[in-house]
Amino acid sequence: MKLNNIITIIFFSAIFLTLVSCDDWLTQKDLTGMNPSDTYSSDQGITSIVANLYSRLRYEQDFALDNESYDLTRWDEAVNNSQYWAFASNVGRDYRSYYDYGLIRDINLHLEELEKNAKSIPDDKLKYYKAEARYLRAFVYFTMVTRIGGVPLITETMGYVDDPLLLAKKRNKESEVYDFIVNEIDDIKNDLTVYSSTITQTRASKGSALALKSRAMLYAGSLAFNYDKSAAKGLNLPSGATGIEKSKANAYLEKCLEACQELDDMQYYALYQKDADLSLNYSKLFLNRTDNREIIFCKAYDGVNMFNYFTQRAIARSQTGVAKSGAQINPTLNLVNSYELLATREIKPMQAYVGEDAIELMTAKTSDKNYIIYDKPEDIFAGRDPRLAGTVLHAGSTFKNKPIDLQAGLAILEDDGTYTFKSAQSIEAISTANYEGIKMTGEDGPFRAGSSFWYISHSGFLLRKYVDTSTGSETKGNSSVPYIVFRYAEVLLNGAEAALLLNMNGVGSYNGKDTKTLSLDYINKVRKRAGGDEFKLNASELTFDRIINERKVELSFEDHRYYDLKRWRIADEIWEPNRDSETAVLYGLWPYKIYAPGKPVDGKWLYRKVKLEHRGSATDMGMPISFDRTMYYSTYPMNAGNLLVEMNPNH
Amino acid sequence: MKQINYIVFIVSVMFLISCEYDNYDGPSVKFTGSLITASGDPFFYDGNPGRGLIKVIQKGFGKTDGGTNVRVDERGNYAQLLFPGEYWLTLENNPYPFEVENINSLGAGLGYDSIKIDLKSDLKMDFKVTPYYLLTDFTAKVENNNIVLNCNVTKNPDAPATAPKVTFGRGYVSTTSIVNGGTLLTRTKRAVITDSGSFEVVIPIFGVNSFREIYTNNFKESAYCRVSVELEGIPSYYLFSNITKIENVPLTP
Repeated sequence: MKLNNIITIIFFSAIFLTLVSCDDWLTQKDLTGMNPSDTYSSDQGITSIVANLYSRLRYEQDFALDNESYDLTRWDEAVNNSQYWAFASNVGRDYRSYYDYGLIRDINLHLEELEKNAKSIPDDKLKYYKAEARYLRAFVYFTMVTRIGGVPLITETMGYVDDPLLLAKKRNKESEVYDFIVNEIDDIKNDLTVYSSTITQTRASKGSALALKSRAMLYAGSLAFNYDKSAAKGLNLPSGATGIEKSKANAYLEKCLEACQELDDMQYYALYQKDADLSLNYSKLFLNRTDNREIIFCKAYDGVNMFNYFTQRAIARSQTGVAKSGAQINPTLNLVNSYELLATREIKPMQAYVGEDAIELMTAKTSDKNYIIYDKPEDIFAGRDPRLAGTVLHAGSTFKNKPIDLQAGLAILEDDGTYTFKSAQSIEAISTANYEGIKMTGEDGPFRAGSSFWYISHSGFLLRKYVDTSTGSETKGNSSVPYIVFRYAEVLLNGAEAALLLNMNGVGSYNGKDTKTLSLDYINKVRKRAGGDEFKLNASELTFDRIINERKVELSFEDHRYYDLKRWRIADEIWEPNRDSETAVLYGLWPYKIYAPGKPVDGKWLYRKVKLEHRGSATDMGMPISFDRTMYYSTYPMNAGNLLVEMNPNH
Repeated sequence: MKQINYIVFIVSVMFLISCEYDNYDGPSVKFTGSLITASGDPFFYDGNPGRGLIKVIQKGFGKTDGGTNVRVDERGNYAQLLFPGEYWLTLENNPYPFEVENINSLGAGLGYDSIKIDLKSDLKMDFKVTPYYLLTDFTAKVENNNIVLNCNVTKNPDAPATAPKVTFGRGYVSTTSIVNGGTLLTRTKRAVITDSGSFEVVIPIFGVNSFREIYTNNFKESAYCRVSVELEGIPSYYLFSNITKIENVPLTP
């Protein structure tokens, strides 16, 4: 053989080898992840994907995320008393701007994969999974529309294109987003009846879809109802991206009632009613989700894998388990004053002074005010809505069978009838500081002196709602209290409000029932559970102000008030930054024990209404809450180059 | 050794030429002016930096910020340094208790007309302002441990008939001549306006929300005062009076 021939043979065989040998070495199986068809072939695979989607739902005040409870203490329900309290200060138009199309895309992708790859999943389960994904998507759109108004409705994933501007979408109308939510829910609600025997609280269910529908339709209905008010405040964009026409109000409100009715027809959910002690009953409702049919949808914590730090942050100083924590959430007098008198159903502020109410400074050491004298510290709170004691700890309360030691100091009665106030000079001295052998300041405060005055009550109140009573729950996030998203009482109050708004809009009856009576029925279910039969309202007492107050009280600390005041279009009036305002300036109520040996008032109690200083910024303490017209709709993200994006009103 | 010389030479050349495009000059064009009333008098404005009025915006790809806010001071003057270029001048998107000539509202919540300005060199621009109401006979005095402010409010005859009605008067006292709701050295109080169109604001010198409470050890014996009126449906933006100084504020009750 000639050398030439050998070279030719080698050459051709080499070429042949390159053609056949390397077929798929570039497309190797990815051993680090699962491919879609494997993932979508089992319940575990699908559940693990959905778990990620659930974990990305946005709750500003959930028990792991809301760092130090800043957000919970931002508005008028409570003030923050961690050393970083100033982070709970006033916010601007960017607050809660939420635009999570990453999550929307992942949900859309999940839906498309369910369609393509879940061949081996039985039909009824597949239906549930698809409905669950659409519920989550509706929930995310609801979260967005309540914050930044109308957003583009995207229901399928988009692929890569050379010119990104081809993917630019216009904002949908605010009403279209609400329409989308309700249509989706009506479509999927019957697919959500879960295949297992118990109804789940932590995954999508028919109940949670209906609760979302009732809330979304109430929001849309009240926005439409308040169209004129919105117009006066410049909140309706001509494109409809914000603001809903007045004519749509009745249809939305009727859909809200429809959802409430359908939830009742399920005959599953009920108000939590297990304890004869109504305050205890109300507080227990939030602590446990097993055998609790009031909770419709919640985010669960086990305190082991999913930490819940809420109890650690909120628990009284005398019962805290971790250094530099506890007593961070201090309810305000503004909230406490909203609890009605049980017998007369009157909304009446706490009575601390004879005659006209006064406002005092925490630092003032003397006073010539005429105080009402109470025998026992808890007497001032007597006869109130039992939910007060179920929500708030005050002087004279007990928690975990231990007394709560709230006492600002001693009030020494002088010969001329004025008082001199004595209290501990530093937080370290509280346990020992005494006057003539009598202890001055309580272990739980309220206290403000020296250079360190955090992690102790600031307002004279502490939180009871959501605070875990189980042993060890106050340390290291070990609480298992669920974060409630939807509960039955809210749905009832949604129904009460929708029916009353219909009535105010001139719609006399719904499904053959008088709308005012319907509203009364709904609100009185909640009120009866709260305070018994005597606490029910009658027709003449039921005004819209009662709805406002009922939601403030029943749903306190559940992240409703911010959205409620926004959709009623009164947030900028209630929270107008004005130092004379009774609603935007926050107050506390400080209990003092009277020291007057040999006089009848000795050992009795008086209360001072004080302006709360932990509010605002470190340089301007006691600042009022500020909510202006730009904050009704948070900043809409202005993506560079997208000419279709419209700014929110007043921005 | 020669190599080192070579390297040193190259590095020094790089130092000389490299940074030319990394730095640019700061804004240098002065954009100034005043708000004036029909009679040519200064228009007293809030002065609170949080109450912006004028803003200038540049347009173009990627320019998605809200523009540059130009602060207007208590006497209605403004001054802003800007880069040379084309700007659109408009008002911030708020309702105001006055009208600015040539800049009309596009509707509630929708913003205002804009004026194109080509800024090549320093520019002075005055704006004629028509307030809906006029504040007259403003007086401030010390009386019984209080600072008492009085003022009359009359409707501006030049204002449109649809101007909203007056809801509240406000009084301000400060320890410095900068008096507005945005400084920590100002105390303010609200008062209702009587039918006759006058109002009185009484700000305590001692106690809660008082002059002496502005800061600890406030031993100032003089105070600077002004008043404002709020119109219905126009929050945050008020009509202001001039600032006057009062003496002999008592140190002890």
